[in-house]
Amino acid sequence: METQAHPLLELKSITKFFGSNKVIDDLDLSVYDGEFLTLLGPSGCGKTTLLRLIGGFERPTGGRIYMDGTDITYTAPHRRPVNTVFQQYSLFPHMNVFENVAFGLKMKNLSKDKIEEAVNSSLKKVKMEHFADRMPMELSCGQQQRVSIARAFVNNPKILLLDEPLSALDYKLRCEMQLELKELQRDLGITFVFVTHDQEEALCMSDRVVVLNEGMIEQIGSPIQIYEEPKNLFVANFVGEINVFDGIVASTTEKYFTALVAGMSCKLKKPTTFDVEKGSKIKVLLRPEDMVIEKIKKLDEESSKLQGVISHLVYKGRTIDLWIRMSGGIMVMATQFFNEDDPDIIYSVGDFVDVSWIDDWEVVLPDA
Amino acid sequence: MHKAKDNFCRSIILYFIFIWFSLMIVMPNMLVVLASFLTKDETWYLRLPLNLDNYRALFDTNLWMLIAKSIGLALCTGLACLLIGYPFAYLIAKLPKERHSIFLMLIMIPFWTNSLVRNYALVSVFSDTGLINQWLLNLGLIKTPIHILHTNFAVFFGMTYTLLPFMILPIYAVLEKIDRSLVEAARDLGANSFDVFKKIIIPLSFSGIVAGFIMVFLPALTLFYVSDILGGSKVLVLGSVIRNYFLPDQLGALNANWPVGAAISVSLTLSMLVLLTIYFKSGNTVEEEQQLW
Repeated sequence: METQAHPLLELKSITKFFGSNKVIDDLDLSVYDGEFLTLLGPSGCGKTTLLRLIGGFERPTGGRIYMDGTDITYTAPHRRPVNTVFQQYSLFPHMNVFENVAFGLKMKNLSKDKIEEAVNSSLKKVKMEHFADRMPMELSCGQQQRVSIARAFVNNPKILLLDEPLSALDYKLRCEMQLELKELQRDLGITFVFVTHDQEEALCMSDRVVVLNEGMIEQIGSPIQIYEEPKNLFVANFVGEINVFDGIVASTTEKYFTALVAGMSCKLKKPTTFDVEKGSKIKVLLRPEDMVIEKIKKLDEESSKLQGVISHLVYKGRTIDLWIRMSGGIMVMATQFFNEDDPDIIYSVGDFVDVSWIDDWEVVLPDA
Repeated sequence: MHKAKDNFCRSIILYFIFIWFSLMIVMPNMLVVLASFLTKDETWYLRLPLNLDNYRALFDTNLWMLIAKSIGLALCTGLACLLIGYPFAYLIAKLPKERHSIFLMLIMIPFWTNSLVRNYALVSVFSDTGLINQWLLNLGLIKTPIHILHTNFAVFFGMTYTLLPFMILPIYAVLEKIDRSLVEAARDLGANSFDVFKKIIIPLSFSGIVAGFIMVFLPALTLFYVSDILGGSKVLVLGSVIRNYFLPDQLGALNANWPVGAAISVSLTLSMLVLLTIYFKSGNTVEEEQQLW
């Protein structure tokens, strides 16, 4: 997608202050036609502000916004080819479902027939065609959300902005809606810019994820890149669980280097993003599911492997999470899949284990 | 033990309210209703037998003319209050929250001065030697004073001035509750400011408009002292008609006739009740909607 010559939407060195509070800090971002882009970050990271800037509800303190090459920085919301799905749905309480969805088209002065056709077909797309006469207050949260999505995309915007649209739904409904939204986006071919603080949601729906923190972009990449190759500790910690080990580089070869990780000598692959030099401090990051755990009878001082004691475990159905206290005192989290054929898998608190990981699956970052 | 004491206090308060309500509201109203079925008496004002004749006065065409005039004035007052009050309420509701109370105070403070006093103050503004005429004379715009006092306009102005807060407050209360994101949603869907106002703000504040209108319209039918002070001897409001039946001495135009006054009063109360019932029936559904929302 990055190979495309012209982005649909371009934010150029956008800065936004609320009073003396800097919410967005010199941010550049391109959105490409047809993609599902997610703005992910903790609350207060500026993701909603960014969305409101694109929607036209806020004006940047500095910087420019271009849509298809046209400057829309100061264009009013009702003149922008974007529509928003609001977090609280914001359906008009005095209009029924049909009138709500028809609102945008009526504003465009389309003919009655055209409006009816468009409204009905978009209600069908969100499976709400039988609810056209209902008032918003007669609908469940999930149904209201569907209507508010239909109300936005019926206008055929170039970009659909979604501000944490699923956060008020219960877990099961949220998962269903995630799949449906993704399907809808493919079906409509409209660019989606989706805001969420839920990393799981971001990973399962997006083509690209933008991880935001304190008004700055920490990383942009595909869900796999974000999860597997976090660029920094913030991204690593925010997206999923991760174990962080301190290390010191002992020696380097052409492709590999050895480092003292948690007091153990390990052979690691050289990272491509920065140079490792002898004596420099590094962080070694490992996802819990990449950890390899092996039960042992007792701790062996001479062992060449990291060892520890299971301090507690959480049974999660498909998987089991182990917290292991290492000899050095640090805690390591490991997720193990159940394997009914393997009796070794029955762990209990107090068991001694060898801790290692699948070769080359670690992420090495410089210790800032 | 503690609970018993609490209950005791609560029943004391409840009894007090109950007694107050009975003595001050139910009893007088019942007396008026009773009076409307009695017969006129020169010395005692009221005597038996019971009869329905008093209600015949309602079919008097002169009374109907007066009622029509009074309703006309009340409607004009309601409309003027709406036209002035709605933008006012809208502007306050649009201000940052922390400044709302200042502006609401500005509306409320004159309200704490007795409205009788405020209407007398208007006399000194409107009279032939009053502020307006003096300014105009001094500026040389007019040669002789214009008569403003004791005109329909003066009464209309006084009514509007007296009742304006009753329009602003309910409308403000509704406007203030409208979710800002609804306005943003409408803007997002292509509505300009006018569309937003027409299709979102007005419909969603309609219950406030109705409430305000009733709160202005009903008193405007009966605020006889405004009519007395600013309208002179003209009988402009229904309240004056009723007052004249009970206290005829002031104008001497009629003999006291409490039963007829009571009958008109009861009829007016009943029509107000009907109006209010209609309003609350419609108002409740809107409020329920908003609550559920």
